[in-house]
Amino acid sequence: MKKFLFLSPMLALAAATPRRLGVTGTYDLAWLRVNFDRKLRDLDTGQLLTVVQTELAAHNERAAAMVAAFAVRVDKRETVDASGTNLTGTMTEVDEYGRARTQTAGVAGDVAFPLRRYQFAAGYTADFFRKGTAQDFVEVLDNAQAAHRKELVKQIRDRLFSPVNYNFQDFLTDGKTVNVRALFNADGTVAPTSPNLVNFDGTHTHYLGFTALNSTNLSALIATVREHGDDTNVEVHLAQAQEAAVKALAGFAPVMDVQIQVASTSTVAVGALNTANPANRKIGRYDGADVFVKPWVFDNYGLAIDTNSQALGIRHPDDLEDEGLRPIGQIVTFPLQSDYWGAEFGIGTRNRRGAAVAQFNSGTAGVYTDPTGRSW
Amino acid sequence: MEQVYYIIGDRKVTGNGKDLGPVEETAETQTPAEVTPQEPAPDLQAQLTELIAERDQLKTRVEVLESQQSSNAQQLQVPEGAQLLPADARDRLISIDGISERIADEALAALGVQSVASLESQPEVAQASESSTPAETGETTQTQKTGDLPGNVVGAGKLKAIGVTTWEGLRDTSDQALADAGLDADQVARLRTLSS
Repeated sequence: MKKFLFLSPMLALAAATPRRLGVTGTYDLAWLRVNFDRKLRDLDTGQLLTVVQTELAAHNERAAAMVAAFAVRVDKRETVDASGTNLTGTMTEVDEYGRARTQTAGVAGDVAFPLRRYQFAAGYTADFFRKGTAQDFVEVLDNAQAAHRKELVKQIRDRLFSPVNYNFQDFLTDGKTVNVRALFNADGTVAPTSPNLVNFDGTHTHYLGFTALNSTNLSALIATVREHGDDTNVEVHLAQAQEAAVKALAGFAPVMDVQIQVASTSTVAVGALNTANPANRKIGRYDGADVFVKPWVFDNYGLAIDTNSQALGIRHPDDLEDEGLRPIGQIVTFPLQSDYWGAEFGIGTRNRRGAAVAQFNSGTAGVYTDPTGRSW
Repeated sequence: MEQVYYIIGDRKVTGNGKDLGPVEETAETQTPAEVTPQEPAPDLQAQLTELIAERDQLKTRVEVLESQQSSNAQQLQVPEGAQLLPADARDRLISIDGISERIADEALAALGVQSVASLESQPEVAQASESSTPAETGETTQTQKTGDLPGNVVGAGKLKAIGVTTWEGLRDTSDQALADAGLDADQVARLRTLSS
């Protein structure tokens, strides 16, 4: 007779065994779905282990690809701001005996990355393992993966939209406290001189408070990112609630449904409108930037990011095996069993000029209200 | 330079996380439809014009009263015999054949004379008529205003709001009703003066 806890050794083994990242195998969730009506007790434990490992590896690859648009992997807890240094040097005109004073460049600001631990737990009864099917197990694994994706999105979103720096004690390593920075937020750090030789001061901010969404304000949001470089590729992300307003702006070129014939006099953006998911798609182009609606953007807020130089960095544990979503433990107390899935990562700003956010319904022009509710 | 701050919850916070204190209460913004129209500022020029008109009206009334007083005084100076029967009129009537005392009394009564004594009191009767109202004496130069209220009358907007659009309606409206409409005591008094 099989133990009803047959998954227990499997998960323990999975937790202890170094995983092969990027492996694609024969057995995956699709295989389980095909065999959805097979009882868990009838499945081979080894096959299930392979399925779980393969599926988690694939999930972590997908998650990394998802994050890559906003954050690049960082290997250091602290580093210098990728925005660069403030080049304030000036030439001095001299006479025959003259000798100019020596000058140094400004110092780039520091940035730091936290490392946080997250868990997801699933509970079962003995009957679940005795009567459950492959489909039931798939749902548990799907749920864990969805929780991981949601937490990644939330951490990225909150770091972008929260305007304050905060101290983080690195409790998973040596306990040192580091200061995790937001985008440029008037904290006294001087942004580097722009390619157009524009100098900034310590009050420069990438958190903009507007009282309305109009052409001027949206262009100002884009310019806040673009003014720092000469090779930026700016994307604007808005909430779906702002789609109608932005489409009504003068100069906005919408992406059209390919099955609709557009009048020759209409100005439209090249591309095909995604009609399958209206809450997460590119909707057009404005002021040289692609405009998207995204489900995770706060209503009445907008984000401009430079996709050529990601604003954020994602920090993973030093040990490669600990990276991404993985099974981390189990508690078995008949007739209950709990399985724990864990992930450790942290999001910080690595390029403080790489993005800008705006509030379009501020009560006071120039004042940005934090929509995240985070106290960090 | 003004400190750059952000709003987190109900606090003002700098980019470094320094708390600058609570967000001050600000007047809640209203849409145009929600805004209650304010009482327009008093039009002092209109009020001055109104007061000048009121002064001229009073001067005219004074002139009318003076004219009336002069007319009454002239009536008092009319010789008694010109309009009054002689003191022995009854006796004279009785002395005429065919006129009895009853007929003489009835004839005198028809002339408004109750008795011989009343004949002697005719001047007092004439004096009393001096205090009668212009209407009773046939004077018509001073009458109450009628018709629509002018647009610049005191508190015109408030009067219109309670349906008072004519002088007659104003006179029929109680002071309390005018006060309830938002007019102060001075304005009510001025309206009463104007409408009387």
